[in-house]
Amino acid sequence: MTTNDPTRADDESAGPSGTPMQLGRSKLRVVDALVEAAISTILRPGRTILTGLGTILGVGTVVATLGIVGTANNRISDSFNAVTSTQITVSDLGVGNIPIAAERSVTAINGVAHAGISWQVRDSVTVASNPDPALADRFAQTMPLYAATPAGLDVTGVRVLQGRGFDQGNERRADRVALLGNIAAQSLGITTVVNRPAVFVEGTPFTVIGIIGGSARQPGALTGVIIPARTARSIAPYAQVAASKLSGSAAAVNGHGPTLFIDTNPGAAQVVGRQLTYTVSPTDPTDMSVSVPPDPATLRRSVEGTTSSLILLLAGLSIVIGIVAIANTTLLAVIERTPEIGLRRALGARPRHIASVTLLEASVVGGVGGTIGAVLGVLATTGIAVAKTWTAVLDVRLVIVAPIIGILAGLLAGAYPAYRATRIEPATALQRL
Amino acid sequence: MSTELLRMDHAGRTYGTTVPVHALRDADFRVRSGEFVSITGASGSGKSTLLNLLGLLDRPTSGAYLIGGTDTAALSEAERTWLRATWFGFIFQAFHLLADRNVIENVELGMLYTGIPRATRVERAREAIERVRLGHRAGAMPTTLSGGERQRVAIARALAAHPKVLLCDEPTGNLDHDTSMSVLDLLDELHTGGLTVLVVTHDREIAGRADRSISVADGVVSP
Repeated sequence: MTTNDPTRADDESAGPSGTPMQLGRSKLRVVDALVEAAISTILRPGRTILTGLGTILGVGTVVATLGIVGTANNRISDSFNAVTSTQITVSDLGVGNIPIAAERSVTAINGVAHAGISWQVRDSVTVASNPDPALADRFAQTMPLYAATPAGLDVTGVRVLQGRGFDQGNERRADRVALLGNIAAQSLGITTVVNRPAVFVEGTPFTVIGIIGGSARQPGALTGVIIPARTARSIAPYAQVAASKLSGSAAAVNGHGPTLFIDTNPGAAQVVGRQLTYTVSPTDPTDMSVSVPPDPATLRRSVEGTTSSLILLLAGLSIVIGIVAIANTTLLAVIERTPEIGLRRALGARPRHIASVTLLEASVVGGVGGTIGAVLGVLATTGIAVAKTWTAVLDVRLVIVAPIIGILAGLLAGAYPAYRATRIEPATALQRL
Repeated sequence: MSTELLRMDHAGRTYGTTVPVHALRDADFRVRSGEFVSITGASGSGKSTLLNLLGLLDRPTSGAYLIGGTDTAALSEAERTWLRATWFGFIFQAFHLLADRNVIENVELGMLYTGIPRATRVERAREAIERVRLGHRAGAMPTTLSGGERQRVAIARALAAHPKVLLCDEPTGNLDHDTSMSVLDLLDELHTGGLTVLVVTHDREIAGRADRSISVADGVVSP
């Protein structure tokens, strides 16, 4: 055999007949596999973009949703700090454990912005606009009786529609003045306080000095009557109510002790709450209930936990959609390239060579798609934060991990198409052109 | 002295199990190094099945096929692909060039799975392209080439891996007469240079150029 021809095979593998032949294995260098995958993705831009679109959308949605939720949670926390987390309520579990004077001592606690006393004295009293018992059917109504100090009116958010609220003089003198909720006023036929109309609470006359439109922390006051705290105590002394409670009479159920409403400075609620019982009642701090808003950090974590779980579920769904999109397009590409795969198999490619290049292509597309998706997700988060004048909050680790998520999604999505590619028989595939 | 390269030992190929189709029966012949053998027969006679078996693109379901004295039934898939990459050069009727790669890249593809470094592959590809007299079209895309030029690129791709055997399946089936003659002249030239050439054809003129002819009719091989 002539061996000088440059087109002849290297003879180390060609043994004469009967001599064992030295066999090798076809091989694809790693750098060649990478180049083949890169060329394939570059040379088919339409398919690459279509394939990458799934990853871009999936990873972009993950980054954007997590970014937007982080930003929104941050905003929610700010709101909790500013409003809800500053309100404390101290309720009397017995009767008479919260003296009206406690209002002043509590106000002195560092971190307390406002403090005031207000409570529902009786669930139901008879209030009449005419003293004549014979006309009770026309001019008398049953309604709840509330009491409040001037500071109590302020801290419970009483809104005066007509006239005025109580002043320190009314409180100090235990004046028999009253504020009517506008629903109660309408039921009694009182439409103005200009002429200082009178109402009769269980027969005792009170001058109506104002009509209120609502109370943020005592919403029932709209249907009732409010009198000064010291006046209420003179009508229904604590001792009398306590005795009624002990005897188990029906009247006992009808009576309540004062409630202390407190507004703290932002962030001070927890500290103030721990000092309140001892300040209000140093001798019996256990006979009252202090309602402190949850710690903002705990609340934020709780809210974030709830929303993050939901969003992670949605993000996971987005990734799955992305994987399905890549898998679908890659599978279509494998089917479209069946003759080419057949040719490569004829030229010496092993099934694993075909599979590795297919997986590499899918992961390259996934990685690039993940990177672009991360950039778009960051832009979306920033854009929304700017539009809402919020502070954008985004975990940098997510942006770094996003391309890796894209690569993993590509590998996962490419697995089945790669398997299908390895099943292509060269003889059959070459007949398809 | 020439050696025996390929040997079909009562080999057959049957497709299907419920309704078996005997595409090839009892093929028994040898091919020695440096031979120019034509495989002739009508369409559907089993010529391409025989070529697929010879090129390790398929496996016989009966009998044996030996390459260089080694029974291919005992080879692993990795060893079979290695033999395809290093022993055989394939030339197809439809050329099978990659449309989005240029001439030199297509030729280089013939050595991609042999582990040869890229620089060597490019050098060998240039040599092969020069050998088929297409050096001036090395950077051209296949879509800009004529049918004859495309087949020459396919021949260059087969030659670049330095095969022992050239397996040609109807290499002039898609070409006009003059172009066909020039492609056959090129195959003659390669054979004269010592390369073993097997050509599947139904064209008697092409078969007449071979040292000997193997005919296939209804799956029966007559050496």
